[in-house]
Amino acid sequence: MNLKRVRVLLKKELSQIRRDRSLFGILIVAPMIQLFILGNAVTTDIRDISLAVRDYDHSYHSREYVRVIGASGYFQVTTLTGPEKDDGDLLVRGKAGLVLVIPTDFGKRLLNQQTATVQVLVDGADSNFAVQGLNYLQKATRLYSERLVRVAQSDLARRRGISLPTIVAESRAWYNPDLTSRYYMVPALMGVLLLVTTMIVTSMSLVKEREEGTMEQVIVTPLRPSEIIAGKLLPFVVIGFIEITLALAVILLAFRVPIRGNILALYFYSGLFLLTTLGLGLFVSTLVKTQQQAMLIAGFFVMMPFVLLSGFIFPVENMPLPMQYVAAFIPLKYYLTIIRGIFLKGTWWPDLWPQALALLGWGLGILGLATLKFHKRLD
Amino acid sequence: MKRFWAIFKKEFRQIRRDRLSLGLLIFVPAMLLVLYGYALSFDVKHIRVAVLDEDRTQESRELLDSLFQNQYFDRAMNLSRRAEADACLLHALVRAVLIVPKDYAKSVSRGERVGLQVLVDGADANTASAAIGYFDALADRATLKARFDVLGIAGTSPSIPLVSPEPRIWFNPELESAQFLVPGLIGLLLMLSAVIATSLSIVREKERETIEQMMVSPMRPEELILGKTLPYVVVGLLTMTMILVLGYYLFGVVVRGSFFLLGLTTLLFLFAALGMGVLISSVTRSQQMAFQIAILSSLLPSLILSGFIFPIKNMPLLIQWLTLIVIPRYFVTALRAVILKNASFAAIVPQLAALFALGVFFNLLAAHNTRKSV
Repeated sequence: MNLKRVRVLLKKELSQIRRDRSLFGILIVAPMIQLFILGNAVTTDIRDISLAVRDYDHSYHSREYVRVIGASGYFQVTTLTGPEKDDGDLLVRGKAGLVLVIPTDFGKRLLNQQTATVQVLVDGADSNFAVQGLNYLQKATRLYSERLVRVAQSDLARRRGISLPTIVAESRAWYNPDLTSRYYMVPALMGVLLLVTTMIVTSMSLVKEREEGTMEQVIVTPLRPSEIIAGKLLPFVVIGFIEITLALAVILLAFRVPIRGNILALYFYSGLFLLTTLGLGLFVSTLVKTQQQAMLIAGFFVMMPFVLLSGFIFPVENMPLPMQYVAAFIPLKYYLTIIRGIFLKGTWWPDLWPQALALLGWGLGILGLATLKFHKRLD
Repeated sequence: MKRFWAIFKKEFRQIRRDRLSLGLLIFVPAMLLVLYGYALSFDVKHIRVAVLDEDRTQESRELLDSLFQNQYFDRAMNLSRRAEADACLLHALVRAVLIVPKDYAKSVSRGERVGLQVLVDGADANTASAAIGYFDALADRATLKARFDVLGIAGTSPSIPLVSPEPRIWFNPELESAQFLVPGLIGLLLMLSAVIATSLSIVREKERETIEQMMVSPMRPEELILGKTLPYVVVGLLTMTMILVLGYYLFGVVVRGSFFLLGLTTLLFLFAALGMGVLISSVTRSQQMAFQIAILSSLLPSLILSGFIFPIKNMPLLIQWLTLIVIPRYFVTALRAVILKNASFAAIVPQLAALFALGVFFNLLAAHNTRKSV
């Protein structure tokens, strides 16, 4: 590789990017706006679940129970008064996530020291929501039951000298004590945006020249394929690092996500990740004949699977085993482990060497493949 | 009408000639649905737990045995010292560490309050809160058993007042993720293919300078746009049919509502989504730019701002307003209602109206821009 030739090509590419002002804006500004908007949206914390209550009992206990649920802070409680056949319709229309039905003998059973069951209708169409909503309802119910037990307990202790044991799980969440899902999602979003923006431009780069017929001009120069590729990619490495810097500023200043690890290590690993995204983009570009095909392949076969199977939203460990092996081939997965580790766990950076090795291997492999493929098409 | 027919035929021929793109547009979304439907799930099961039993009594062993007799927790390792808990969590060997304190059995028999210590890897808040919920439920059950034991030994009738919720889960009783994922994935896949299909359509003609030829013809911009999008409506409906057939045979996702409503919803969605694609195409000057805008405005927003995974109600107000122009938001809601809940026409009227309005808006704007750009 001749560095001087690469530099000439680099200059040509850079001035091309600079001339296309709108492209520059879209490469730098748009991802930041996206990061800001999507970062505000990626929260799985479920609050204000709409809970409709159908109280057939109207006793002191039923009213107190509903009050305790309302005071738990997880629910927006509404009381149902209309005809009961409409209750199910609330779930169909999505007006309520949960419907709580308190039977007529609720208060009586509790007064008789018995177990009183209440019925909970849950909208299972959104299973994640259903599980969380039920969890919260159970938590609030436990609170109320405990109150009843305490009353009964003092009675038992006075009359029979019996004391009732209680076993509780005292849970402490490490790395993210308040369980703020944003701390987990926003840094990962940076990785996803980095993938999307850098891959789009490179996946079209070669095919664009071919469609416009300028490829021949590049080919007749004494530039070697590896030099052409280096010249094509280097500007985007620069843009990638600008993006990372701006994204880090947004994450740290606007979202106030604490970072516990080494920020320089993050840059180092991001460089390795860029190697894979740029290489992949280039590889796609050597495969296709038109820009639309490039878009289809990059969109359906790279970006979407990467986003869905990398553990960005759906944890890899929930997948069936064969799919976990598939996920092992996705570089974004390793990068997300790195980012999340550095941000949340303060992972000491040498501990991340397996991920780093995977990214490096991937990046060099795909770049080599792209160069080879490019070489072949020239002949 | 005749003019429109001509451009429709021209576009269709162009699509047919590009076999690769056509194949990708029809088969790939269906194929991907299979892959994702199989792979993705929110079901938090088989959580890897490390156990530290400091009590080492019959009772503590029984407690631990009961803990691992379900699909939620897997006993991944046994620790001997507290200091080991740290490293286990940091290196993600386990998701949680459970510590049974030294005097567990003694305290229970005395009728005291015992705290089991649970350390959870909180990095992934969603999984962590589900795990904490399971631990709470198990502690609940252990409490109930211990209390009955105490009362039984004392010879009292085991009666404690207690409220016990009895959940009945509608629409998806087994809480299978596939049932809830498939409608969302349909929205994501169709949105992506619709935007990819049309976002390059006009800008490509601009780049190749064939648009002038079209403009000197007596064709009106509306006719041009309609002719460009309609072939893809056909393609989109084919894709949708394929997805539903696969969803039924592979994941048991049954369409509970009417197929007519489903077709209407899909049609309105395609009208809006393709309109957005054409709009992107009409405002950009290069294919590269159109691609960038198309992906940025479809892939992540369909996933994140559509309410598919992240509840819109929990977003900041400003972002909630922004989701009003996210087409898949209405599509996914309507699909879930029709497919899972057997919703009536009246129940999804707001979604259908929104899709229609967005479709009219995007298409008119695209027509306006196309006229101007020449």
